[in-house]
Amino acid sequence: MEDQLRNLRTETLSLIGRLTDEKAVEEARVKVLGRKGDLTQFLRGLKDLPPDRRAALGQLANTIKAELEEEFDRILVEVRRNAEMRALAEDVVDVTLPGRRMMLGRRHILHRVAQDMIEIFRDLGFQLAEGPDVELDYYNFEALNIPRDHPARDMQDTFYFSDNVVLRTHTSPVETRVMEKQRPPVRIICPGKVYRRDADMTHSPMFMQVEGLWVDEGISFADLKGVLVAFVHEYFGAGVDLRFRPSFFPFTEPSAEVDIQCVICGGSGCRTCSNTGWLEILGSGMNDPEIYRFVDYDPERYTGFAFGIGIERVAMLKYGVPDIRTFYENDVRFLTQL
Amino acid sequence: MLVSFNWLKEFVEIDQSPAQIADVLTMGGIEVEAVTRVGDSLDRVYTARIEEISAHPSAETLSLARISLGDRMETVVCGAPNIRIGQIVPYAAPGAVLPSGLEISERSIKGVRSPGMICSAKELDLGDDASGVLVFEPGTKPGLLLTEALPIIDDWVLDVGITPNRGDCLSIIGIAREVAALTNRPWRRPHVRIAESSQHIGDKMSIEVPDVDLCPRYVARLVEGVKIGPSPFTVCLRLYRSGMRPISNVVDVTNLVLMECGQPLHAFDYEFLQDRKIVVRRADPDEDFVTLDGQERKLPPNALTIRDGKRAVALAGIMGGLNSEIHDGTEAVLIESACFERFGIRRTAKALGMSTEASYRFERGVDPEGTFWAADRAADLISELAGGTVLAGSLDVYPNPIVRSPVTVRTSRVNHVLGTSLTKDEVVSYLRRLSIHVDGSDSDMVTATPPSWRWDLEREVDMIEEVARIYGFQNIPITTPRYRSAPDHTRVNHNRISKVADLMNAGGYVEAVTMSFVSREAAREFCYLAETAEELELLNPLSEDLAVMRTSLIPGLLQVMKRNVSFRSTNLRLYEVGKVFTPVPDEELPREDLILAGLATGRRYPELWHFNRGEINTRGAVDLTRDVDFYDIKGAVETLLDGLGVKDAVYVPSKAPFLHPGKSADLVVEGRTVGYLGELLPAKTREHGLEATVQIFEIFVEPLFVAGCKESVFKPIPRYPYVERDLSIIVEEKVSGDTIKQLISRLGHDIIDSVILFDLYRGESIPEGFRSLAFRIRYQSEDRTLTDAEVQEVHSQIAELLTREVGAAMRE
Ligand SMILES: [Zn+2]
Repeated sequence: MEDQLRNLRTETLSLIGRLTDEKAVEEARVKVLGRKGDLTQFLRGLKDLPPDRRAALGQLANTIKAELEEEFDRILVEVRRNAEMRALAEDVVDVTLPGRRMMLGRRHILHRVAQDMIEIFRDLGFQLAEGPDVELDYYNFEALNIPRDHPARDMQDTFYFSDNVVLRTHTSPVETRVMEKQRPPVRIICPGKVYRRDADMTHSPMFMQVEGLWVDEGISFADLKGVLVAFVHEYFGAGVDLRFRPSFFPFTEPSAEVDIQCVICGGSGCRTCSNTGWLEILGSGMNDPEIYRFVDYDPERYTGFAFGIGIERVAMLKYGVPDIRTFYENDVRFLTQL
Repeated sequence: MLVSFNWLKEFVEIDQSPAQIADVLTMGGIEVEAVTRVGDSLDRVYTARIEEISAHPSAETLSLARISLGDRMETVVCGAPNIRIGQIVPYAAPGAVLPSGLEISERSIKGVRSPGMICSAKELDLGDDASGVLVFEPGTKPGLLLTEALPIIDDWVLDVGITPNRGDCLSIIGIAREVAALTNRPWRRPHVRIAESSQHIGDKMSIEVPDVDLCPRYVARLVEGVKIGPSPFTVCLRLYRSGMRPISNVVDVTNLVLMECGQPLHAFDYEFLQDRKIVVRRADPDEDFVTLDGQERKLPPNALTIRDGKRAVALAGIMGGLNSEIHDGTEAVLIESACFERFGIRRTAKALGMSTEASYRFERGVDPEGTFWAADRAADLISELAGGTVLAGSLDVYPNPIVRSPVTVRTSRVNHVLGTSLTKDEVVSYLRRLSIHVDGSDSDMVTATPPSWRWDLEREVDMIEEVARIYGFQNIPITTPRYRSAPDHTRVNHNRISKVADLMNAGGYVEAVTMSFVSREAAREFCYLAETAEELELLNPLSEDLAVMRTSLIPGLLQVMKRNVSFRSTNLRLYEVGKVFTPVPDEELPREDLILAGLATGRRYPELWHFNRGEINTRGAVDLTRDVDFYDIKGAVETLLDGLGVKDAVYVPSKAPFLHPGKSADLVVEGRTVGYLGELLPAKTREHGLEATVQIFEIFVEPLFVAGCKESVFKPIPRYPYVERDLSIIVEEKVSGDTIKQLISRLGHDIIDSVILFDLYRGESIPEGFRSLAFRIRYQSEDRTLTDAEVQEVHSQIAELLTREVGAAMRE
């Protein structure tokens, strides 16, 4: 009888190992453990045995019963899980099809470029300043050491509203307005739209600039170089070489144009850089003592520097846009491209 | 300005290549924009002597030229009218490739074999003249490569950009001086020695300068017995390489000297100068004058004229007169070399809209000490090229010599400004390289006197710049300035604009940037929010489309829409944040207000495959083909205000004349109309050449920032469940949503948490002129769970109130 019991266990375990669906598991459980099941019958038959054998076999039978019950429970979970996995495997979507997207707009590329620059200059200690687009001749020219009849006015073809009122040709007037109200130290950047009477592939009658001004005691040309080198390395990459070469602006002395190594050819020479390997990206210089006269700063005590960058020029170089007018045509295919 | 490298080398010793010199100049502040090799592609072009000319057997306009190449002869077909026996001409042999790319081969022309051709100046890029063959000077040796016979041809041209402060560099000698300073070499100016006649110029001519304020110096020389003709090839080539056109020997000399030393000259036909005198004075009021370009001009007040005894003969420093011009029969030439006052010339040139090589240089300042030399140089060259004799002496009116003031330069200040540690000796040596006279025995300080040609060195800082230039900007160290950091209060405003942009972007709107100026019509058309109907007008607009400052951003966005629609981008959501301009009475500057404008047109939903089988939402199928309407644009505005924290916003029907009268609203924030939104009037849409309906809005941004910056205060999150009850009513169309909301809130029950409209229905079962509105009302208490009875009580009160106040009928 003990063999019979052990055979039943072995057979049942082997049956359980072969079960694959929930219904078969239930049927097998009933067949073995049900009211009329094989093991139940066997347990019932024990009462006819002598007490000493009955106790030993009874204990074995109960152990086996507990084991089989546990096995049936386990296989039931397993079978159910497998069944669910099979069902899921058939419920398939094409994951390559597009999802339900939100419509997303985009900032104009020029504003993004300006924003990036502003953030770099903020990190370098500059504060923002803004001023009017329609500006007095005084702020746009006179107070920047560009008197009437000065040939330097030819450098910028100006839009006029009257003899005294112009569309600003640069954001430098903001600097004078700030200096009028604030004693040094002054560290500002002035982003904004500026206007010159010119329109072709590389000139738009309206364009954007970021200008900067730093006035304090003991500021030198070497500091100007330091700040602009930091900016260029941060914006264009630490490996980009740059050079300062003498130039002329009426409001700075000495004045310097800053060229960066051509971002297109890496300096070996190409069409964009006219084979020079260099690209002019900003104008700068030490503040001319003359402009301090207009804001009552002591030129002996305070030195400083100023610089100006054309946003379009930088964007054109950075993204390879050949025609400045593209920025202002606002073709959505362009606006959403970069 | 174009600078011939060969010419440059006449005035300064150069070891470097043209490219190296270009770099030296650029890094010294004279920007070289291009370096071009010229005259190098003339490999198989030779000098040849024309020995015989015979007629072409079958073509009347052609002839056969037998040419000698020294050791051999060739016969070529030639069509030029100007060939003569004995001329030395350029001959391009078969295999030569001309600068235009044309390859010369032996070919038959009208039946006659022609091994190569005789070339014009233009064909060889040695001049502009294409009317006949180029003829060299008689002494030129035939049979040599062109570049061997005339080494001047093989050259480089530097295109230099001269900044307005450096008038002294507008000449070959000027550039030579810079090269000399930057490379630490001497420069030289040709020595002029003239064989003068015994007669003195003073016997034949007198000069008076009453307006000496506008003409500090006036020098004249007289050359008699000249013969006007073409200039020799070398002179023509120099002018051509300088971008000038040869005219005749005398005029060419004035241009050559101008290019050489930067001093503009004028040559008068002496015979035309009445009373044999020159008077330099301001024009008469309203005087008319015909300049040598044939134009009659009304002279502006204070225009300086050069006159003879009777009339004006030249517009000083700008252009000569037609009445005294050099012509083919001119025999005596009066050379004018003057120093005119810079700003006077500029004012007159500007007033007349003229700019000439002369005026350009006078405006930037010519060397007052150079005038005398230039007159001598020109007289000498004229007698050399045009024959004639130079009369003894010059007339030189220079009553108040221009003196350059000495400038104090402190070595310590140089180092302070530049961040360098130069010694006094270094500073002195750099200045001296620029012909600046330096004096002084102090350990720090020197006095520096600039040379006569430098108008721009008046202050210590000007000298510091010179030191920096010669020292080299690249040698100045790189340092980081020290500063005390401070909170940045300016970022707040800027960040708000970024926030507006972010919110619009999140709603699918794409930012455009349009011009700040628009047409007058556009400015008037959308001028609704502005306080006045005036617009700010440009005196010199680029075009009528860009004539006045914008009063609204909508014209710009409509234009953007139009462009995009023309490229078949028809589903558009656009916005712009920018300034509008309003003139203010009695103020010089206008008001500038930041405004946000938006435009939406086309489909409401993007192309989505998910809904293709009519996906169902709470109200039915999503209609993918639906276009945006009023509530789309209003939703965008509401979302924006929500994002900015603006809580108090009211929408009232708008009276904007360009909007659909029934689908438009003004936005009122804190009692002030700050914007509008709605559908563009169909007639307007058509006027702008558009077909689709267009939703627009425009809002002043500043009031939103003010309204939105109120601090929010924490309100506890309710811990008890809410109860929702629906209320469905039928009311007349004229009863607005706001009216109902206001009535409900007037009840003052604090358990009413929110009232949301979730359905609006017209049509079947609803009488004409009525609509059905369904509200979901949420009841909520902060301190207890609400009972059914309690909610029902308030809900019934609402129903009664609406019935009583607006005649609402309850719907089941
Ligand atoms: Zn390049």
